[in-house]
Amino acid sequence: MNTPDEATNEPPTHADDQPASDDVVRVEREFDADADRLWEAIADPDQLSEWWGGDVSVPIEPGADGEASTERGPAYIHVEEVDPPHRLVFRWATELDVPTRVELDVESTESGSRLTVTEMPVSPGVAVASAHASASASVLALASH
Amino acid sequence: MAPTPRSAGSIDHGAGLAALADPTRRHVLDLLSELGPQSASALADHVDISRQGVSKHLSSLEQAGLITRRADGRAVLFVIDRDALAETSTWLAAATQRWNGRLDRLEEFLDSH
Repeated sequence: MNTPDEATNEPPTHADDQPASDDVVRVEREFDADADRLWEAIADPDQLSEWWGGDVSVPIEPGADGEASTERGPAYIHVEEVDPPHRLVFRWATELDVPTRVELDVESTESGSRLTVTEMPVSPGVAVASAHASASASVLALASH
Repeated sequence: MAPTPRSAGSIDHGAGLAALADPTRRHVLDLLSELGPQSASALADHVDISRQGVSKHLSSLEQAGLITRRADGRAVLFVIDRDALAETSTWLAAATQRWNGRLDRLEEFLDSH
């Protein structure tokens, strides 16, 4: 039996009386699977494709570029850090939204593993991809900072 | 993803969300929310950093469109822009929901493989 969801960021219901201190996106979830298994489900392209919820095609390697479909449309992705089986960091952007950076941290727990997802905008001025780019590195306009 | 950039002349929502990532800036927003419009000096009294430090944070928040300034006689008061904050909150909630959906599917995948 899996432990209950541990999303730590509750959506506000009334923006007017909401305290101003909303956090960035941060979601935690515990799994029965061990850390290695959890990492594999994220980093192995075939497994990732099975649960992502749409097309995803990006090598999980530092510096790799790719695409994934999201509820906000196709996202162009640039992988920044890969530290198996602990941490994966990428930045991405859709046509609708400004670029953000996503950090996935995998930890072992007594009962299995924990995944922490953090997402926040990249610094203004850092481009991830031009709107109509293909997923080839030469076309993506990427700035490091 | 972060909210859609609005049309020319308005707020950079990427900057808005980045501005919220700093605990001191969130504290400043809380204070403005609770106390109403405040001067930079008044805010500096409430937070544990220098007046100069507060001014830098106020500048970031203003650039991000989360606060605006208005004249009160010769003083300058800072005011929360509640629409900007509400839109930021909406993006945070939607992005959180998207991740929860993905993690639900990841959980199902791990359970069945």
